[in-house]
Amino acid sequence: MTVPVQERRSAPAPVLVEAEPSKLAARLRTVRNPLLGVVGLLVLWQVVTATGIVQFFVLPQPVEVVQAFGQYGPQLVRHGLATLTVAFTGFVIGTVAACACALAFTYSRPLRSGFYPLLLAMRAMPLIAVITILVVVLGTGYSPRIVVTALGAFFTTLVNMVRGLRSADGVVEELMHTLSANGVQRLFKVRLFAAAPYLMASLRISASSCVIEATVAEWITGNVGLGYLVQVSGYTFQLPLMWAAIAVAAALTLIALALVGLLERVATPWVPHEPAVAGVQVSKLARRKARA
Amino acid sequence: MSTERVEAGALSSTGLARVRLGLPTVLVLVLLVVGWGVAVVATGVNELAVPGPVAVAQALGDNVGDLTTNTLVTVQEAALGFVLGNVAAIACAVAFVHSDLLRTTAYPVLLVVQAIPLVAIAPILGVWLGAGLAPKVLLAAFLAYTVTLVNMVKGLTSPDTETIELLHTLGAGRWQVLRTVRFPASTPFFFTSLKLGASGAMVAAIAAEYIGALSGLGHLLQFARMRLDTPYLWAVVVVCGVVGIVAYGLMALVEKIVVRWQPPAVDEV
Repeated sequence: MTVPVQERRSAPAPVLVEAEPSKLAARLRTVRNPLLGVVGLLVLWQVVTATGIVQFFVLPQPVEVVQAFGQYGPQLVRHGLATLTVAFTGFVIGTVAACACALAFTYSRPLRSGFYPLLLAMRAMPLIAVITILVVVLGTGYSPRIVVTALGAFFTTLVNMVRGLRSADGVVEELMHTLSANGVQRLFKVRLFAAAPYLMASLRISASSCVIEATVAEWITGNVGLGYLVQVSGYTFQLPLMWAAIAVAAALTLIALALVGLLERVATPWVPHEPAVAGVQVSKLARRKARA
Repeated sequence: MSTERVEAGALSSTGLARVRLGLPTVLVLVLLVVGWGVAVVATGVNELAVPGPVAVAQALGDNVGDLTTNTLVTVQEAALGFVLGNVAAIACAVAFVHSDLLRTTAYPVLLVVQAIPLVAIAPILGVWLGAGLAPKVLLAAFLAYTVTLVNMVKGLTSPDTETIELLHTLGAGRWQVLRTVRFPASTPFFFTSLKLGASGAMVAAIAAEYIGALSGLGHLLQFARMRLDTPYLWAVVVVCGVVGIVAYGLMALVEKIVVRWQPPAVDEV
């Protein structure tokens, strides 16, 4: 009689032990091919530039770019910090303003029907044209750059938040109504939860676009920042430095994306998060298909 | 209760096309323009910094010919890049969906490339390709490419595995699966990227013109700024905005004509 019980008790243990390495192996497998892709690209770049197939003034060797990192380290940090300041300040201002506007549009019909279509239309405005005006109005300091970055984040988040706040399940809303919940309670208990995934999606988009917009803004105006560095080093033909600056900007974008991804997991744990690389999900399906 | 339902329905998929430009919007627009004019006069702001609406309208009227010619140049560059980028993106998306190796090696690299501030590359493109048509088209194409690639991969992989397995069981080949299941399923995703890519390609073309060009809206922006002709500068910005909105609206219109069924929820923006 006791034997099956013991068996049942001991059964899960080996499974647990086995699960660890296979999980690790699976993770390694998903990382291996992307790594191969990146390394392959770098090697190709090095070969093509070192043998002179691509001229040095068109594309510097990756080795030279790495050397530029060492040579111009402090400069890259200074300009990188300036870009980070603009991008982060703009991101925060734009997102907060968008959430406030979205709330106003959700609760005030005249405001929504009056302003929302205009704002939607403004979304298609090329920000690069807007910044040209802002420079004339606000001068060449930090403010026009921050305003443009904030505008980018604002439009992205506004659209998503307006949609998110209205995405709450009608049945739940009616239930809350039946329970005689007032507007504030409905907002905090239903609507904000419904809107959270939408907010996270827009944060992910504006996290990367903020760095890009800040760079472009610096490229048009100002005397500091990665965009400025790209332009100046381009004009003076210090191409390794230019590529190093571009690499720093790309790294900032990727770090911002990773941070938002982390925030997404912490703030909305109930939402199944998309993997960073969409291909992973697909290949899982493909594997299932192959087995079938 | 009923009005709220109707509203929720009307705004449930808030594309630009779904929001009607009603009387309140026009009213607000008129009020804003009038308020702008009054504020400029009342505060006595330097007209060199902030021109009034009348001055901007005058600049628009005086330069209709110039603005039209240059707009056409920019639109041509953007359209060429837009088409090239989309065709390349669809081809790549189809390849990625069918080849595990390609997808797992090249797709992540492309996603990283997407993080590179594209427009920051514009100065290099000038070095590579000169001041002609090529750098503008290339930049516009690259912008449209990245947007469409991500959306098409999402769209082509969106159908149920069961549906695809069913077709497989019925002896359908890859091409048949692609034609009957994957492409129709990806249509809403594709139109999302078309709408975003249309205005994105315009931005890219303008940015590339900003670096070095003899014509186009970006060139006009630079030109008006250098001459400190602020009313003209604002007029050019207004034209840029209108062109961007028209490009987006055009794609929304095509979507409305092509996608007649209820499209699934797609992350717009």
